[in-house]
Parts: sequence; C-alpha cells; structure tokens
Amino acid sequence: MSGDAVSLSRRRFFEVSAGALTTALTVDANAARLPSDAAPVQAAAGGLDLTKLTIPGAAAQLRGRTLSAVELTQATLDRIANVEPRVGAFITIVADRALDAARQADREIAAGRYRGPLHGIPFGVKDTYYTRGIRTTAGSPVLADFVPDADAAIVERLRTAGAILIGKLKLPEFSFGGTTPGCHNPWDLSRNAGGSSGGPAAALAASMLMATMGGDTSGSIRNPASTCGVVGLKPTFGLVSRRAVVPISWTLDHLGPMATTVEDAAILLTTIAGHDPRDRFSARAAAADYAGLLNRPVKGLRLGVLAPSELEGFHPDVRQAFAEAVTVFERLGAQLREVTFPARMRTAAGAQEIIRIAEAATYHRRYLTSAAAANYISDVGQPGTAVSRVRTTVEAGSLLTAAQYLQAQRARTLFLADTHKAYAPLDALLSPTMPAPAGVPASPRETFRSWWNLSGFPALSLPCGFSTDPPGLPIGLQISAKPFQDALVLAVGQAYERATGWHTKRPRL
Amino acid sequence: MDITKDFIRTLAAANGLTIPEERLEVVQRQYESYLRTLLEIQQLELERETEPSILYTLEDMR
Repeated sequence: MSGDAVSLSRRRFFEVSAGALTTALTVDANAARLPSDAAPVQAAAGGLDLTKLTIPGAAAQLRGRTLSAVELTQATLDRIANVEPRVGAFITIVADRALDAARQADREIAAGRYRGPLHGIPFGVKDTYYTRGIRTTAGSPVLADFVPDADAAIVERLRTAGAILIGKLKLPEFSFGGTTPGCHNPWDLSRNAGGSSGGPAAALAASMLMATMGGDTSGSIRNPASTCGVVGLKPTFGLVSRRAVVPISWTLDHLGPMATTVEDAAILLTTIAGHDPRDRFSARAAAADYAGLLNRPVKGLRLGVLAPSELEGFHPDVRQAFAEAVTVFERLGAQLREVTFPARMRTAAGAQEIIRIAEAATYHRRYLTSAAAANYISDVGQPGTAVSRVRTTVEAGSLLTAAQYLQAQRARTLFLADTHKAYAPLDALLSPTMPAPAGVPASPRETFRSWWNLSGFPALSLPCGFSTDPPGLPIGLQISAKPFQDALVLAVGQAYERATGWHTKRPRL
Repeated sequence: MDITKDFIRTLAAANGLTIPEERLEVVQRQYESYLRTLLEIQQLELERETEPSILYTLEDMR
C-alpha cells in the first residue's frame, strides 16, 4: 500500500458511513468540496436532464461536442450535491480528480481521439474496488486507511475507455449483508436500498450516475438492482476479472455492471469483459460486443418459467408482476415451459453459505489475528453503532474444517450438474429477483439468487413493475442462462424492456 | 455433543485464534448454525467419485 494515504479515525469513519455528503467530501484529501455556486442541473449543462440520460445518448452528444465531458461531470456533481444528502449512496467523492479527467477527455475528443461510448461518461464503483491513490474501505473501519497503489482491473479498463470516476459507493461492512446501512432507497427514503451493492443501485435510481459497478457473491448486484428499480448483471463466472477487489469468497464472487437500461449494462460489459491473466479464475473466453448483440428477437426462444409452486412465500405483488412479465414474453412469441428443480437443490444455499464463509474466514484471518480485529463494526456490546455480523461470521467460519469445506464443494458439483440439466432444454430461465419489495418481510422457501453464484451462470435483474401494498416499490425480474450466454440474457432483457418501459420510471426526489 | 463456550475457546485456540470472552456466545451460536447446515449437506447422496468443484488444470508450459 502506498500513495497519498488519508488517515481517518474510526469515529470519523462512522460519520462518513452514515452518509453525510458534506462529511464524505471532506475526508478524501483528493475530493474537492462541491462548488458553493453550483448551478441547478439543467442550467449546468444546457438543459441536460440526468434522469433521462443514457450512455448512448450522452455519448452521441459528447462525440458530437454538443456536450462536454466537463459539463456532464459538473452536472453529475451538482445532482449529487442536490440529492446525495437524502440518499446516502457515496462513501467518497473525488470531484477534483473527476473534473481533471473530464478536461482531459474534452481535449482528446476535440483532437479527434474519441475512445468510444464511455469516453467522458461518469461512473462509480462499490467501495471494494481498488482505486489508485483513493481510499478503499470495503465499508469497514478495518480498511479505513487503505489507499491502494493500483486500480482494480475493471477500473483500469473503464479509465482506459475514457470513463470518469466520480466516487466510491456504499456497502455493508465487507459486503456482508442484503441491506446497506445508511443508504436510502430513492423510491422510499424510509426504506433501505438493499445490498450489498446498495450504493451503486441507489446512485443509479437517484440519477446521480448512469454507470456503476457492483459485486455479487450471493445476489448482491441483483438484490439492490431489483430493490431500487435498476438493471444489474451478474456475468458468467470468469468473464469479468476480479483482480484487485476486496473479496468475500474467491470461488463465488462475481463483479458486474449496474445501469438504468439493459443497453447501458451491455456497453459496460463490453468494456470490462475479457481474459485477465492476473485473475487466476479468468476465463479464456473471447470478449464480445454485447451492445452489438442486442436486438435479438425473443420469438422462438425456449424460456423456462419458475413454476408457481417454487414461489411459496413470495409477496403477492411479486408473484403478480412476475406472472405479467411472463405474459409479455408469451406475446413476444417465446416458447414458455414451466420449470421446477429437484428437492435436493434446497440444500444448495447451505453449501453456498459454507463455501462463502470458509473462504471469507481465510481472507479475514490476517485481521482476526491482529489488532485490526478490534476495528470491525461489532454486534456485541456496541450500542449505538451500526451492527455488523462480519466478525462473528468469520470467527465462527474459522472453526470449520477443510473436510467440511470440501464436502460443501463436492455438493456444489452435484448442484452444478442439476443446474446444467435444468437448463439443457432452455435458452433462458425467468424468475423473480427478490421475494418481496424493499423492507417487506417474506419467508420464501428459496430465494433463487445464490444458486447462480454457485453455478457461475449469468443472471440479470431488471425492473418489471411496482408493488401495490405497500405502493410504489420496484419489483425485479431475473433472467438467467447457461454459462457465457451473457449476450442472450441481455438481449432477452432488452426485448422485455422495450415491450414494457418499466426502466423509464424514476423516483421523485 | 454439546457445543459450549469452552469448546469454542479451545477450538479457536487450536486454530491460532483468540476469541474475546464477550464474543464467545455469539460465535458459538453462529458455529452451531454452520453445523446444522453441514448436517443437511452430509445427508445428500453424493457419488463416491464426486470431486469438489475447486479443481484446476495446468497449461502445457513446454
């Protein structure tokens, strides 16, 4: 670790994590305060409406020089200044660096060196992604002073494509959990954004960013994407490099794009996908132009539909929205067939848990056996602080034996075979992403998310409606397919998106 | 067998970890939860030849 490390006390960290923008802006030495004379969004960029802007729309204006990268970046910072105090999506904002990068992008575009559709586009990453010279906390006081000297592979690729890093986004401590403390759901600020990639999802839903990156070990991209009404893709395991990102579990972690449209997610995937010799699980699969592979007709595709019997315990509004989504695909000409899974798949989530925890405990050992252990957010005897069960989880996980871990990995082999068998007659499978809208209790028999981490199959979540009770909360549809069928998953998602328009809805903030 | 705080303390020590006294109870409960999950996994009928999913192949470096 090197670079311009920023010292941060534990108390200060909690203040930042609580989501106060003004505090966040003062803790990063590289992050300038927003200008005091910040103009409203529309005035800042000549009528630019960030609630409607997509990557291709912005890219066309940037390339045609009717919009500058500086204008877009400033408009983004203005929007953040206006909305972030209520949402709490960011841990760190790097305004000065972003504006410097935007000026550089403008110079390059003016000189005819346009790099592609992400040139000049602002983005944010979950605060597990290493960012050179910028604090990377993983949402934990344990890493409060960690300033990496290199970028994550994904950040590196996005920067090379000319994208502009705006900031680091909120998550629960070390990505453990399905909610993100201090991160409010833009559709109902009294509710949580979901997790663990809650910051990336909330920033999109609040139109603070149009491109973010999340992480998914048990569903952590798809959960907040569904909960906040945005698009999130967990790509095929190995398609996207995991290099230089704080892990939970080496064999279950996936990194992927989050956006407000499927096309935007496809553009981001095109940039970040591809073999990385420095990630030992990176697949030697050729990267594709995922945006170019959209617009594929759904007619004739064999789409599996999770049988109603599998949705026991799901909220009625979720079941209704899912049923309506299925009828959309029927109208589009897909061949639908009901799918059930073998009863033994009920144990898959348990195997996933053991693998995840054993691997996490191994990663965390260096902290558990040092003074850093005292810095975990505690769930014991610490009233008043945000509760985190990370320390308990990894301490108990440290007591598992190698034989127990490997038995879970053997079970994984069985579930992988079951999953391949279930998908053999299908092109893709449809299921609800979450059993209930944000903060609504549900007791599903199975959540249908972590299975795809266990198998590595790609899975996309996109908006498919809103709840009625309570009213106005987003509901997500999950589309999954066989390994390396990411382009198909995106194409099916885009066909649905075009047929429905749910993705165009934005919360009033 | 009963999982006790003493058991957790000893098992942790054997693994090179010191779990503070005030944390033993929560860790004990969490460990018991893992054991229940493992019991379910052990009831699966795995083929004798089933290998764990973590495998790798070496590239030909000649």
